[in-house]
Amino acid sequence: MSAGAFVDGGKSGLPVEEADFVIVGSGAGGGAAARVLAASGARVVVLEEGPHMRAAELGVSEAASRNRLFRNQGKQAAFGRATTPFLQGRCVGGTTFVNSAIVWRLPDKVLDRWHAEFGLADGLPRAALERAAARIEEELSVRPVVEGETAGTSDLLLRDAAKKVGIEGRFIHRYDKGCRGSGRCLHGCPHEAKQSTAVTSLRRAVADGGFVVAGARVERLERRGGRVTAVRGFFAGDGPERGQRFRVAARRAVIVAGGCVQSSNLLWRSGVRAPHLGRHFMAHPGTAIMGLYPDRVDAWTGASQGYEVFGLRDTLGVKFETINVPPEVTAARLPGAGARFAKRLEELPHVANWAVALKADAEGRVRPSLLFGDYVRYDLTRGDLERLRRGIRTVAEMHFAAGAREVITGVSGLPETIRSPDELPLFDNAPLDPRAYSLVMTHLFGGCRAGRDASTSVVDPTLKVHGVDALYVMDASVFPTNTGVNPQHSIMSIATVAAERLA
Amino acid sequence: MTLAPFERRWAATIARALVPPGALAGAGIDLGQIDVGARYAEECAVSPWYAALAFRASLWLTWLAPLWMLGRLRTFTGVDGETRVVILERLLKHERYVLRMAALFLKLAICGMLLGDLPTLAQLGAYRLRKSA
Repeated sequence: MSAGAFVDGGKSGLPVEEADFVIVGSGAGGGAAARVLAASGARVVVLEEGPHMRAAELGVSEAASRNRLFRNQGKQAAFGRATTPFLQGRCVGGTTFVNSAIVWRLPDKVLDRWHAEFGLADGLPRAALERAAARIEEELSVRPVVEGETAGTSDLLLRDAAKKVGIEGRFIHRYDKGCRGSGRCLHGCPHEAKQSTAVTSLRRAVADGGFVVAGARVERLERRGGRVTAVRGFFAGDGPERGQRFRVAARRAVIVAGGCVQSSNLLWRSGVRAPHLGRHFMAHPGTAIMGLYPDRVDAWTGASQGYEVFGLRDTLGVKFETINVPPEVTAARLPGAGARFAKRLEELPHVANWAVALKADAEGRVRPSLLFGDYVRYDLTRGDLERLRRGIRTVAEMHFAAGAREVITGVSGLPETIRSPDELPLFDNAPLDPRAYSLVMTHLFGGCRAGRDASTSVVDPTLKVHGVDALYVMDASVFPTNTGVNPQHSIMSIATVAAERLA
Repeated sequence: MTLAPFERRWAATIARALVPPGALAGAGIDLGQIDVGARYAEECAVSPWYAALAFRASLWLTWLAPLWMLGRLRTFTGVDGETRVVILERLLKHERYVLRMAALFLKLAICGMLLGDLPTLAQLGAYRLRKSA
């Protein structure tokens, strides 16, 4: 096999016009599938809409990173009673390039349900998933954040708080090789220490003869009879080829791994009309609760996310994590304007942000839209809001347990801040209205859910689209339920198992 | 979407009311030198149309707030500094969700423009960046 390459499609067009496998998307699913298929000797082309950013090109400001590395410049949202922003990477590496690289295997209970309710035992057997997960952990150098090395003060405070209130937690396990604790995981790692697919599986695929084409947006899939034979799109990156259209033929299959919103919409634009396509969109909405501490926290040093508290995951459906929200974003959530706000800004180094991530029961819907490109409809249930409220109260309680002198509630209808645990009961009466909270969604699932029954699912247990030959979906859109844990590892594991079957 | 020169001036005026130029001076940061108007226009230019529209709408809402919020035949520049701050505070806590979100969107954008610079982030002690002398 001749050597492959990373190619900038906007500058130099396509390196080949035909491949055994064409993979749409270079994130967790696309990267894992590319690695397996290229290693098997197949010719693989990965098409990524976003740019290929090298470490030296990365900026430090939140706005610069958002505008270059995130889909729609980080300005996309789900609509419902509230408008809830959600973030997706749009660059080589996809979201793995801009997340905190948190590792969780798919929980046993979740897989049990996928097997029992959705008939996925043959396609995604437990033993194969565990084997894939173990191999990925080894290849991507999984290790926990370490006190004295990559843990920040905020992480140590949350650890102490978890012990005091008696909820189980741990230092976060991450894909990390040589982290220097620069706190910029969410901007793209400046040292390539974070083991995103851009620096791991995609490089392996290229070494095995694969091509990764950046700046190549796939618009639709070409079908002949009942089989997908090619993809069509245009070059979105800068350069002389920008705007030019392309076609890549797939000899064996097309694998769609564009993320939850994009994968189902690509299928829809290509004429797939499964009854449940675009349905069962799920997420982990979350919000950060700020604690103000007497001493400096300097939350922007250390791993971007270093400690997690998961003892309430199976009961309340919430997980708490430290998160180094960029200073300029943290600043915007400090209360006030004018001189009062200026005084608050001086306290920035004393802020610790702890996130509440909710395993929401809500299910939304995804559709292409002439106005927005992608349209997502999503509304939390009353039960979700009740659990979110209890989660926020618990995090506030933990801030006080760790020594915070003040907690910023971040809930409309409640006082801006509380200064004592005696005020915690205020949260019990917080509005059960999503508009009262500043929520952001990061982990997205569904839209092309997997299942044995073609009338209630989009892909079969092998992740092949029901009724369409040579078309597979390998990303979190196939998850039939919400997992309750950070999804990257699960996505890579299922994509590995599904790709091994094709190899 | 392109902002008109007068809209750029509005953005700069609102930014000065939200974050007084002397804020963070104690940390060796000079926020007064940042051209918020130009950055606001730049953000509108690179954003999807709906986000750019939200940027522009939040600007107009705030600019005309003395009229619709206080019932005074004035714009944002036509009221004194203290009233400007009162307007921003009331918008940020407004009971109408869409108005509260518009104000938060504006605040988020302005904070990003003022605090997202490499020297500012370094002076704040972010990301292990080296501070200037």
